[in-house]
Amino acid sequence: MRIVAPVSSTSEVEMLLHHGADELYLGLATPEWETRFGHHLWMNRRSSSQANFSSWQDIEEVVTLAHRKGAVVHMALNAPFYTDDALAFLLGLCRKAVEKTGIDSIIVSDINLLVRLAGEALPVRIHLSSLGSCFNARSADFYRSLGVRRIILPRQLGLSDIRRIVAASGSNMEFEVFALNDGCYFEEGFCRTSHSLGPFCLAQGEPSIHGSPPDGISPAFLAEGMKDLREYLWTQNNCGSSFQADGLPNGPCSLCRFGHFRDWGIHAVKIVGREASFVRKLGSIQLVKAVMDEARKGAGHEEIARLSRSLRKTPELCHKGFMCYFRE
Amino acid sequence: MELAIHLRSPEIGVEANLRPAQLVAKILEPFYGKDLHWMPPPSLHRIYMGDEFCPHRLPGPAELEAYCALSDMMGVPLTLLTPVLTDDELDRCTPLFDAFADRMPQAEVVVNDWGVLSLLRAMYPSLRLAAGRVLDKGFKDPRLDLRNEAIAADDALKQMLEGTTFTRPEFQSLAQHMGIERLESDLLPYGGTKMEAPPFQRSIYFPFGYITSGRICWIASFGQPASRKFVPLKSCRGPCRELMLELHGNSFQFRVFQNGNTIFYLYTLPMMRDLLERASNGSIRLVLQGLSL
Repeated sequence: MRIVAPVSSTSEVEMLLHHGADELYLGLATPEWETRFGHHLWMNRRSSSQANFSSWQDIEEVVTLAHRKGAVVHMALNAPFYTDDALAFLLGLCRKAVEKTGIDSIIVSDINLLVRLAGEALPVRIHLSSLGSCFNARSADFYRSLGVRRIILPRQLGLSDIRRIVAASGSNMEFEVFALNDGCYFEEGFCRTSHSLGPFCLAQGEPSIHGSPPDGISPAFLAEGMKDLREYLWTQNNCGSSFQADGLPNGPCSLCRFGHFRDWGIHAVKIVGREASFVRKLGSIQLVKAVMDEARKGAGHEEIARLSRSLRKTPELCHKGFMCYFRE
Repeated sequence: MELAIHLRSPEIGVEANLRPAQLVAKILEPFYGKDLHWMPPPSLHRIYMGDEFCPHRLPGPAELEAYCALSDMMGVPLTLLTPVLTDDELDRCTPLFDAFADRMPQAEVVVNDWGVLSLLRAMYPSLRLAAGRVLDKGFKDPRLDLRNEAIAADDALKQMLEGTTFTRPEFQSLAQHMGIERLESDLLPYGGTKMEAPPFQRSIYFPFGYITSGRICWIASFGQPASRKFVPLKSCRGPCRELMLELHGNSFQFRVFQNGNTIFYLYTLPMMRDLLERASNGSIRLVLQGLSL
C-alpha cells in the first residue's frame, strides 16, 4: 500500500517524501481562473489560496522533485460539476498540465469532464474522486469503461462494502481509501452546497419540528439530538482542528483498518488536507507512516488496531466511533 | 403536463384517494396558503414509490404488491425511485427488482447510481430508465445572497447557477448510450431550469429541491446508542415517516427542511408560479413530493 499525501507548497515536498509519502496530490487555482469564473466556482474541491498552487513553475518543481524520489503526483480537478466555459477551459488546462509539468494523473469527479478526458486520450492516468460516488462493484466497472484507472472510495462506505467492491474488481482497478483528517456529515458526492460559502453543516442553525410532533419527539429530545450532532461535527472537523500533546493531529481516521486494507488489496491510503499547515501535514504523515510500517511488516489486524489507538491517545473518541471512517 | 405523486406508503394513497385537488391543498397550502391559485389536472397520471436518498425507504414485497394493486385500482402507472446502493443493498433489492419487472415489465425506474443502472440494463431490459436528481449536479446552496452578487454583469456566475450535469451534451450522449429515456431534476434555486431536453422526457420535482444528503442519518440516530449514531444503518425504524424539521440557518435565502437523511429548500411562491405556468404548456412531468405525506 502506498501513502498519498497533500501538498500545497514546494517547501513541503521534501518533508513529505522524507517522512514516507509515496504519492502527492495537489490543486491548482490560477489568477486567470478566478478572473474568468469568479470566487464561487472552484477549480477543485478546496480553493483557498492555502490549498492550491497558483504557478505552473511551482507544480513543475513539485513533479520534478517527486519523480526524482520515485513518487508520483496527482492533480485534483474534482469540483462536482463545471460550467460550459469552465469545461472548455479545463480541457486546455489538462493538456498543458500533462505536457508542461509531467503530472502523472488527474483526479476527476464531474462525469462530463470524465467523458471529455476519455475522448482526449491524454497520456495521463485518470482517477475518480470520492465525489464520483462509487458505492458498488458495478459502478466501479462503469467508471473503468470510461478510462478510470483508480477509484477513491467514499468515506460513507462500510468496511464490508469496501471489501466487496475491491474483491469484485480484482486487478482491473486500483482503489484508494481515506486514511486521516476531515470527515463529512453529508456524502460529498450527493452534496450540492458550496464550500465557497463555508461548510454547510456548520450553518444549519437550530431546527424546529414542522407540523405536529410525532409521539416521543419533544423539543427536549431534539435538543439532545443537537448535542450529539454538534459533537459529531466537531470530530469531523478534526476535533476543532486540534492536536494531541505530542504534536500529532486529531481528527477522523481509518488507521485501525490498515491491516484489512492491505489484505484486501487496497492500493493506496490518502491523507486529507491540502489546506493544512506544514505542522499538521508533518504530524499526519508521521502518524500514517508509523501505522503503515507495521502493516508493511505483516502485523496482524489486532496489532495494527492497538498501535493506532495508542498513537492517537484519544481512547474515549476512538471508543465512541464518531472519529472512524467506514463505520458499519 | 403530467402530474405524479410520490407516496411514502400505499396506504396513504388509499386514504387520500389520490384526488389531485385535495392532495395539492394538503401539501401546498401549509406553505403557500391560498396564494398559489393552481388548478391541478383532474386526475393523477402516475404514482412514485421508493426513494432516491435512502435504501430503507424501498418497498418490501408486501408493500410493492400493495402499490401495484393501488396502481391497478387507479389505472395509473408506477415509477420506482432508487437511491445509491452498496453491493449488499443491491443484493437485498434483487427480489424487489425481480417482482417489479415480473408484475409490471414496462414500468419505470429512476436511477441515481451508475451501478444500479448497469444492473437494471443487464438483468431487467424491459424496464424503462430515468436518471434521477442525485445524478444532476449543480449549484443549490440556499445561502447565496444574490443581492451581493453582480449577476447581471457576470456571465460565469449565471452559467454556474443555471447549468447542471444534465444540461451538458457529454452527459446527454452518455445517457442515451446507457438507455436513459427521462431526466429528473429540481427547479434550481437561482437559475432558470431548462424544461425541455430533447430527446429526453423531463420531470421536475416540487415543491422541494434537494440540497444535500448522505448515508448517515441524524434523524435515525435519535434515541439510539452511540454505536448506532452517525453510521450508515443496516436497518432503520423510519422515524422520518412522521418527522420533518425546519432548519433556521441565519444565512438561508430559502425555507429549508430536513426529512430523514436529506435537506431540502422550499420553492418560493414566484418559483412555483413560474414552474406551474411553464409546465402547463408542455409535456413535462411534475412530481409532487409530500415528504412526510
